[in-house]
Amino acid sequence: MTEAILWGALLRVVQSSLQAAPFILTGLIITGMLHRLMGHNQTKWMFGSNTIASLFQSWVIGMLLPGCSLGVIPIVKQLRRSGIAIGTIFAFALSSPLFDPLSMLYGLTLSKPMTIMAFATFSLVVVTVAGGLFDKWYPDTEVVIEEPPQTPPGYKRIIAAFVVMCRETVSGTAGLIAAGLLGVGLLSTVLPPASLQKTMAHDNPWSPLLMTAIAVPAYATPMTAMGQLGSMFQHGNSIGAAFILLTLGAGMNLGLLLWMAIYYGWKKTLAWMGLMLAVVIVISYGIERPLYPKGIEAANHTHAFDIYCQPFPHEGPPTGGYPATIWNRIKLETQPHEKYGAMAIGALALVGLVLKALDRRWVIETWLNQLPEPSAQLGTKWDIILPGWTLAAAGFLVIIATSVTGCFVYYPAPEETLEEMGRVATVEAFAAAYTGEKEHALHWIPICEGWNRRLQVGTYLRHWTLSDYHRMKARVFRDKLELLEHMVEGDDPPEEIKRQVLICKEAFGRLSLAFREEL
Amino acid sequence: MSEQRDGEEIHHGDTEARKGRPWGVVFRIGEKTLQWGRHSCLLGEAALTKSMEGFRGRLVGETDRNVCPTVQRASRLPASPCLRASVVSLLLLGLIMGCSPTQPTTSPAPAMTHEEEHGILPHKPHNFAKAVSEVQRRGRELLNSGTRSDAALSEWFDIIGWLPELAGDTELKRADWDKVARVTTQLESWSAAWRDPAGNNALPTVDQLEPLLSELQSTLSQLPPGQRSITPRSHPQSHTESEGHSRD
Repeated sequence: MTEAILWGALLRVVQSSLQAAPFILTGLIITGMLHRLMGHNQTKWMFGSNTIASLFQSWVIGMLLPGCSLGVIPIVKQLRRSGIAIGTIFAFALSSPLFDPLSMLYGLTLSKPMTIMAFATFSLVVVTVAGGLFDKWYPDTEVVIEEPPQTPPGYKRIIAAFVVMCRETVSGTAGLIAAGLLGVGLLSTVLPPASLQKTMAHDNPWSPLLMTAIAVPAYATPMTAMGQLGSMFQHGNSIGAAFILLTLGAGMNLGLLLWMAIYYGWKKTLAWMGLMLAVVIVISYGIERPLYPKGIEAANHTHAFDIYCQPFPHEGPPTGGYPATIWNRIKLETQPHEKYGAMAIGALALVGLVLKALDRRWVIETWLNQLPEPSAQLGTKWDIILPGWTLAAAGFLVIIATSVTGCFVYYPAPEETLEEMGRVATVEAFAAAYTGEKEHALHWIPICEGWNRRLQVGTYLRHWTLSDYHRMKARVFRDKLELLEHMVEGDDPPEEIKRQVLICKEAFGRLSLAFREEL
Repeated sequence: MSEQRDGEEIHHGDTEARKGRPWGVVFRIGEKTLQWGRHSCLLGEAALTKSMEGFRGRLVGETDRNVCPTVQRASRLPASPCLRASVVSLLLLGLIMGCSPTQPTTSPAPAMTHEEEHGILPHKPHNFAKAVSEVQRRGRELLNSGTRSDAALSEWFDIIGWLPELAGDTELKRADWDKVARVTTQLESWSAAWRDPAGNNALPTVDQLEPLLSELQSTLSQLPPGQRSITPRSHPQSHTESEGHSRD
């Protein structure tokens, strides 16, 4: 049993690390730009500090930039260095992981997009009320840190930003991110497999509080949180708990809390946490009834929170042993952008370590910050020297544009999605369920469910509308897939499972026809 | 043991210690079973809010050595009402995290089917044709009936609410499905006065019902013969590799 728990915790930590990798990389890029291109003054101007307006500014910037609660750690460190007050920093830190273009689109195609818009508005209320009160009680959280010398314009300025990224990767930031990931591991050790499947009911008044206890150490990317929200709406779960999952599950982790405790002390950290939890919990109870979707047939279970629980049952090790199973699952689940994100961070860390080793003999920043010879400063009339903030602004726009472009890649056109579903995902899932390959079926059925969501978002993204007819076809297929999943999971008689496979296949045929011929 | 108080029957004394736990108490208030144990506490709301004194007396008098430390602390509450209220509030907050309803200890709930887990109610028609037939039958019955039970009305609104979903599970084309969705909305408006007699909704009449039922019936004719039957398909088609399930 102990072995299952420990290996399970390792799997959860690795899964979260890989999911976080692209966001951490984005966070490092933003930190590099803020540090070497914007500088302290411009950064403080952009985010503001210690005013209500600054809370709104930071919230807007956080909503625009893609990020997750681990990816914001290097950014919040840089914001502190720039002399920004803690309330403003947390307004950014909390809002950045909640939404990005990918997750926002996903949310807008859920059955109740107004709920998602309401959640976004309430997140602004949280950061404004909690941040405003905190900055009022503790107005002295702006620190003054001497700014390092500016790097002269040219390629050296870009290298300087890259060097900051490398150094951050092997600095205390890595430790804080590790602390955030440790929270995920610890959480999984205390939650037995599938122990949250029958929790978070709408009519259970403790659901939001239980979610609070889970969400603080938990880690969820914006997309994961949005997918879980969708599942919660679909299963008629507590809306308050869903809001807490988004605000704290996606927006908070142990690493962020540790960062605050290290730099501002435990007293302020506890005050901030108390304030924020109070606001979030009050809002969550306030929205429970008004935002609860009508006409929902509340299900008695959900798989949405299985990712926070132990992944391995206690009966005994899986076939092939724990390490092989973990490796297989990582190989199957990891998406290309996560793999490349992790590889890029690995490369940054390697360069960071080399720079650290070189520091004893040669500090790269000394060379980078060296002023060029006066003759070398004279360029042609086309060689315009842009101020650092212009480059940083262009960089931010590129990041936002990349994430918007990423939406089109992640949510392909309906024909491509259906092709992928029909050629691979449904074939694998149905064949495995039909032939009794339980593990294989339980791996592929959620993938089919994911493609089913992407089909809807991809359609919405290209047509800016999704008819009730198409939503219903997708819902029917989803419900049938979910029933199949539970039948496989519950070891139902093979004949019943085979019957359900055929029902699912029919539903997929109708879904496919509707999206191919009637858009 | 039990006693009657303020109209609520409270049983106590079923200590968790007797079931092998270090401490804990099981209450039954009315039909609810509430368990106050080490990991699973549920407050008897009435017991706590109405009289802390009575609550204290019950717990301590019967099961003092088995009661959890939090409860023992509560039994030594100060006499000042304000202070007592504060302590009770803190106690409530402290207990919140461990609270959960439990199943009655005497009659454990039977295992749920997958359908029940998914909130699929027994009166849900198994296909669209059956739903149309049910809407026709129930609509006319409810209209002609002098008294309409809450259960019958609840099932009526459930069934018309399921029409779009069940129609979505057929070969109906978009235009026909849209028609079903529209008729559903019209049926809901038509029968709204049953749900809310005090509202401003017009009373349902047969003149309005029949055209809607005819429209529903007409959508059925758009379906392939196999889907027009109200009887469920009993056996799946045989599965072959040629159906595309092979992973080769």
